[in-house]
Amino acid sequence: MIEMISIDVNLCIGCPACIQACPHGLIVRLDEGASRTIRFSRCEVDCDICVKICPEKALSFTEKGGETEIVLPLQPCSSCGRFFATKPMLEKVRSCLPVELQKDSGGWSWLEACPSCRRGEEGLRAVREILSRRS
Amino acid sequence: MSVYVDMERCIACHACLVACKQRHAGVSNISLQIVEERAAAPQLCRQCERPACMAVCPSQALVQEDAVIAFHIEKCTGCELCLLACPFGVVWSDKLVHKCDLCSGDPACVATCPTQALLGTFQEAVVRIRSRAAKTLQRGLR
Repeated sequence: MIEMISIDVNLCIGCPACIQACPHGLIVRLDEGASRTIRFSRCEVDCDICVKICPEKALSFTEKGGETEIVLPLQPCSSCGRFFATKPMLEKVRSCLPVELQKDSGGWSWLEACPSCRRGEEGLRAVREILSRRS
Repeated sequence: MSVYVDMERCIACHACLVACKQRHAGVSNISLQIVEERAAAPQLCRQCERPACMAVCPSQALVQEDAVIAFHIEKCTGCELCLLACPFGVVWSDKLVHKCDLCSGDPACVATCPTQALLGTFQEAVVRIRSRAAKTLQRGLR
């Protein structure tokens, strides 16, 4: 009997682990505006890859119910404005990082910049001295 | 161990990116930031002493091995928390997560850089900076 997936909305952080793991492409992500929707279609075969891989243990099997979805808020990049991650993902990162990192970098503001803008900012910082000499 | 970058010497030729791609099945673990078309800064994993990527990984796919932050793809869940945790934005995902692995101790980018802007050891980086500082001082005294 093919079962259905049940999501614990208090645990799911909206990361792409299950989406990438589903061998049948039945879990899809839709980023629209400031929110991300993750939609679980009815499973076609018996498999438990997504349930096993979920780093937050947010997925389980249920016998009843059909398609299901979860909607999570997205974080805009503080520099370029692009929505780059869900807010619960960033909250998870923040809770795992050692406090020393916060001291070193003057607060958590860097966490709200997308990886691409972090590289840009770091590149600029690294060559600032050179730029003044070359101008 | 890490790859050290001498920004003064980088000419933004992209040779390091190409060498990295050749070594890593078509994906590069280096990003080149060109600033105002006057200077360039290659960005790659710094092999942090207290790695943020490793601290957030829920499946211990990122581990400290000697002085390298090694990535074990078979343990990776693909959650991409490491991408968000890296303060320098130098962990990537292209379906699969990838970052600089120092080419198992023989970095292709260092070997290929035509201006020797990339250095493979801390010792070389220190020698470079000290000799430059000495030359600057000498010029100033004349």
